[in-house]
Amino acid sequence: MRFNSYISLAYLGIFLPIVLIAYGILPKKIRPFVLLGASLALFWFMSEFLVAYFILSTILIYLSALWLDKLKAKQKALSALAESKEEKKAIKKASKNKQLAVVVVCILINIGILAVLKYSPFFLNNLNLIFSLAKSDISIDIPKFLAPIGISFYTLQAVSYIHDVYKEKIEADRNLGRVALFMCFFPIIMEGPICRYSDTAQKLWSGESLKYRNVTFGIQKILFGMMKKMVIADRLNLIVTNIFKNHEALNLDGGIVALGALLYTIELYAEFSGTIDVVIGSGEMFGISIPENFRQPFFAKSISEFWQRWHITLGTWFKDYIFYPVTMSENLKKLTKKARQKLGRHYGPMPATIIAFFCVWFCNGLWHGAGWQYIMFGMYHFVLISIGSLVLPLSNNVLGKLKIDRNKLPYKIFTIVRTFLFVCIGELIFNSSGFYDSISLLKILFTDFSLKTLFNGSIFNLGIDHYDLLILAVTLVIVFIVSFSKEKGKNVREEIAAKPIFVRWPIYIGLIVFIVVFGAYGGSYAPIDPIYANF
Amino acid sequence: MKQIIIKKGIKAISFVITLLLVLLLLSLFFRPKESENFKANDIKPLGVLAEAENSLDVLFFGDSEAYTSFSPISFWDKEGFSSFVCASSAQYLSLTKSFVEQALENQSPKVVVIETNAFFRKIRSENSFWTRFENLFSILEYHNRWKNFIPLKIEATPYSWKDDLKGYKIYKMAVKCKCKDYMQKTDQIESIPETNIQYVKDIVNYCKDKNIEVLFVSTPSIKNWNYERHNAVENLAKEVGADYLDLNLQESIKINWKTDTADAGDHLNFKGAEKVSTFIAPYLAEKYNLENKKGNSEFEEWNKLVSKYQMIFDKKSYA
Amino acid sequence: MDELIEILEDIQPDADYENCTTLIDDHILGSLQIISLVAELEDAFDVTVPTVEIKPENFNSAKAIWAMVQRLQEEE
Repeated sequence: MRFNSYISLAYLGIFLPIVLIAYGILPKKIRPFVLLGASLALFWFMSEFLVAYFILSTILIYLSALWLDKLKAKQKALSALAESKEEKKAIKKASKNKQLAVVVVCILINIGILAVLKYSPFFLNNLNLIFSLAKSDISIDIPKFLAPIGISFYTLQAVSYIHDVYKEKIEADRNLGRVALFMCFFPIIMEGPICRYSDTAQKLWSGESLKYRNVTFGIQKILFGMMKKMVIADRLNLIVTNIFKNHEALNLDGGIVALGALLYTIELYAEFSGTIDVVIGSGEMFGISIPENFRQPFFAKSISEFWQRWHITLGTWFKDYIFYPVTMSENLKKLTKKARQKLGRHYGPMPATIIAFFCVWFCNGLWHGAGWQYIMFGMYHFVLISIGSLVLPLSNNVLGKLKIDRNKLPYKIFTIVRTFLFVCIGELIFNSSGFYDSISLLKILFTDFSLKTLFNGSIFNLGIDHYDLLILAVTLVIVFIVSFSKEKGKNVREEIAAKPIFVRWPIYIGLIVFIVVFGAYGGSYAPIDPIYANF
Repeated sequence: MKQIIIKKGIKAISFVITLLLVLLLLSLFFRPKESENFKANDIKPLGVLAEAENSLDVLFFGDSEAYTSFSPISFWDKEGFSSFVCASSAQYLSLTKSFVEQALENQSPKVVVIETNAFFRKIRSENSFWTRFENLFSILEYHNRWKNFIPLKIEATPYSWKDDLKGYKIYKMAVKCKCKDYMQKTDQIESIPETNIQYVKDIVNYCKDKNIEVLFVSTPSIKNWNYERHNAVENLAKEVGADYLDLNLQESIKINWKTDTADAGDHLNFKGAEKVSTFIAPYLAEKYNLENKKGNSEFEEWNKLVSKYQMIFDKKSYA
Repeated sequence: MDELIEILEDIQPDADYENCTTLIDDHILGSLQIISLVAELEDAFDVTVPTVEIKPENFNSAKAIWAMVQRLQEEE
């Protein structure tokens, strides 16, 4: 069985129902093992022997965490015997150093596996480039590695687990099965969300019974995700691929490239958030609440707010494990203190913050892929967010003088549209085929822009027709209405569930028929690989 | 407790039954009255529609093996004949047939080349469980016909994107594979599905009616080709009266499976395609008496494309 | 406590610090404000705030922040 997407017959039609039935009929004690077995099986279907890397990482963090526990216990025992405060401090320090060594080695091995499998060809390529620029004859053979699916996701979970044990946010788990299930619970293997041990681990291992309400609510969430993926994303795939991959051969102009950036942004959102809906829905069926990864991102009023709403679990991971540790490191704290004396309260924390932003966005870019376009994508956001925080007091001042109220609707809409445009440009860089390609796309966008080609009908040669546009518009309006209600604090699913049966059922059946009829699947549509699974 | 479970079970089952009934009912509407043409899953092959009328000497059809192996601009550069590759990935012969018919509306080439890999791609039989299921719920297969139900008044836009690579796709990466002797001589014959044979016959007859010669070509591929398949195609070519050229047996092409394939022996990359060009361009020109039109002012554009082609070709990509 | 509210007002005006218990959850305090706040707290109350303490529970309300500061002062 070849498996490459959650939105497929293999997963939704075969795998998930089988697991659900097995989970439902087997006794409580065995249920966690059903989930673990299913998760490892799915991992195997996708990556075969590469699953060994995953098992290695899991055992590594499991043992390291236990070791940390031992060191901590020893420290406590010793300091109970200690006589003076100084002695206690010395014991604590010695123990902390050992613990730190364990954590650092464990994290380095985990990140190291990721770096070798995913990034070594990229780095060696660039090294060869430097050699050739330096007119040197050295050239390194580029090895080709295969990485297990989801390695970028589970590595971050591994790091968060060991870090949290070290910082005593959580206790080391003595149950290897539970650690493994936390690492590879089957809905989250491919595209996240990146979970924390404290979010899911206990619940996953509890083996709670299936509940009718959970199962039906899960199915609803899955259906909504399927709609986004199949009706919107798959329909846009052809035209987006044509614009991005063939812009050279087809001599496309800036208008079409702009359209490409817009449509790719929509496609990415529909694909990624749709898949995440299926993931969260799958978890919900078993009573597991997987953390949300999207919170109506296109309502964001600034780029930094956008990243609090888009791929949330990645953003918070970088915040907790890079941003705060960097800004709160001793050196940068000193820097902040000094800067506060010179630059004042508002700009004082800026130097440290900007250094931390740089680290976060460099890593964020690189995390998305081994390629210069991804690093550019990261740097683009670094610059935007840094400028955003630098000019905030200034723009507040200007707005105050112009008597523009930030909370008035026209200004809100202005900021939302502005943010959306910046996001689209970012995704244009993101989806280019490399450094040169991203530059050439940006060049076309800004130097060869015309609206003519958008309206003379030539877009209908790119793999989309009037009907597709019509149905896209209809579906986007549906998604917008649901998002808008959520933004206003409504719980759409609860509201529908509270309606009488002759209202509820037509809505559910209507949604299924909508997907069946308007989904872009079969004969004329090539299925797309999930975009985020390759990161 | 038990009562609640039964109640909920009944509810769930009746929901599923209602849903299936709705889908069955809709299937009646969606089943097509007559056969309708598919659209390609790729726009590259449609580029042929933008070529000037009767301007092409050779047309290539087939699946991904065809668009990675045949490079019309390179053929032009070498022998001065014009051609186009109407290929899309994992193409079924049913689609090939409709491509041939569409392309030959405006073009009258000397020869039509059909890549043979698609001969072995099974089109599902009528009697399997899935086919029956699909016939019942034909909405799944024909769902896209909703487009026929909504009367949007649109004039068809004439096809206008010209493809500068003429249907060829450049693959620059190289993934080596173990060189093995995949063409060991044998008398065994792999069978070609009956439906496919019928499609091949239809295509060949269609061309012959228009006085166009047909050549089957098997492009080099470790993964997709072997001697059993060679024998099968050779027999079929004899039967339908088509020419046959198996590039896998042409040692002078010298495909190096370490450097010339994009994906470990499945498809050729640009180096492999260039080697194929070097062999097949003179072969076609000689066998079918193709005129060298490089000096012809009507084809000036093709000369320009050669330099552009070189540019795309030489450009480094740091992926 | 009053001093804390003053600091908060200074970093991010227009919020009801007396009663609000969702300062982080509702994104009233972003990461930038947290950095400023920690620097101010360390200065004003002579404590060191380690990274572990930077979690939503500790910053969601003025009360929680105050509780954290007092706890850290005791630990010193």
